Amino acid sequence: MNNSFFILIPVFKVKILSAIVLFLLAVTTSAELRSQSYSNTATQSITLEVKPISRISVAGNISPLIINDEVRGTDVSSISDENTNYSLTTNVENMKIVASINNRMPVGTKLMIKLASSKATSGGMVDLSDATAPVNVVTGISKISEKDQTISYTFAANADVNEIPTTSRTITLTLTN
Amino acid sequence: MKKLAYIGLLFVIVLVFNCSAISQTTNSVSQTVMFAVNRSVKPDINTLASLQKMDITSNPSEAVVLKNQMKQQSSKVTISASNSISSKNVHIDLLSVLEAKKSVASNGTPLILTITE
Repeated sequence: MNNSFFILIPVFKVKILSAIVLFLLAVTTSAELRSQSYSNTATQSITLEVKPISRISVAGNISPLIINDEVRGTDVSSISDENTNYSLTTNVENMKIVASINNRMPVGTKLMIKLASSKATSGGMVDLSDATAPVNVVTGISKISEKDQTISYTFAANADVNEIPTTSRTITLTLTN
Repeated sequence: MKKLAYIGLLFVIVLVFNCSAISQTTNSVSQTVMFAVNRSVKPDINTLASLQKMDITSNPSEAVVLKNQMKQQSSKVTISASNSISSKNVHIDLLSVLEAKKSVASNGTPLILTITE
């Protein structure tokens, strides 16, 4: 009986040692797994760019500008139209709107334009009669958007101009720097 | 030489694409403006002056011509006449007078023609 007991002691020692090793192994593995779950990251690289953008558009229809009779006591008769407007947007500084006419106006007549502006500087009434080269109509446009600003056209004729048949001109508005 | 040509072509391509980016800063729109002058014809002063030299009642055919000329000139213009420079002006509708073939003024009396609108 006593001999059996002493034979079993080494067996118990191995089993206990195995259990301790297994336990330590389990603890270590668990700690390692926990530390790995808090350091999971990924990175991406994004390239951003904003290109210079400038856009102008017009809306509405210009009524024919017809002078029928001279006004008593004046040397010049005139008629105006304000049925069109323009909108613009730009992210560029120091832009301006210039206007030009495709052909000179008939002798004794004038065509004038005025562009309203709430955020830039309007040039007021600008004579386009001989403006085959662009002339400034709005200046000081920097990184703004404007919507539905009124365009006014005025046609004037001297008293000695009797008759001009219906004629047209093309006005070009350019947003430029 | 070929290498230079390829480099030049590459440069041109890059320049073209850069230019397309720059052109976004310039944008144009066009509008068409129509106009006309359609005034009524002004009274011909020569036609009126001839009335001073004419005895309208004795030359009815010429009076008709003048009447038609004045009708064409303006429907808004009233031509009036007075038979004396110093006397009070009596404005009459000359066209009506011509139609009625009545004498405007006596021979030798200055005729002042006033055009009013």
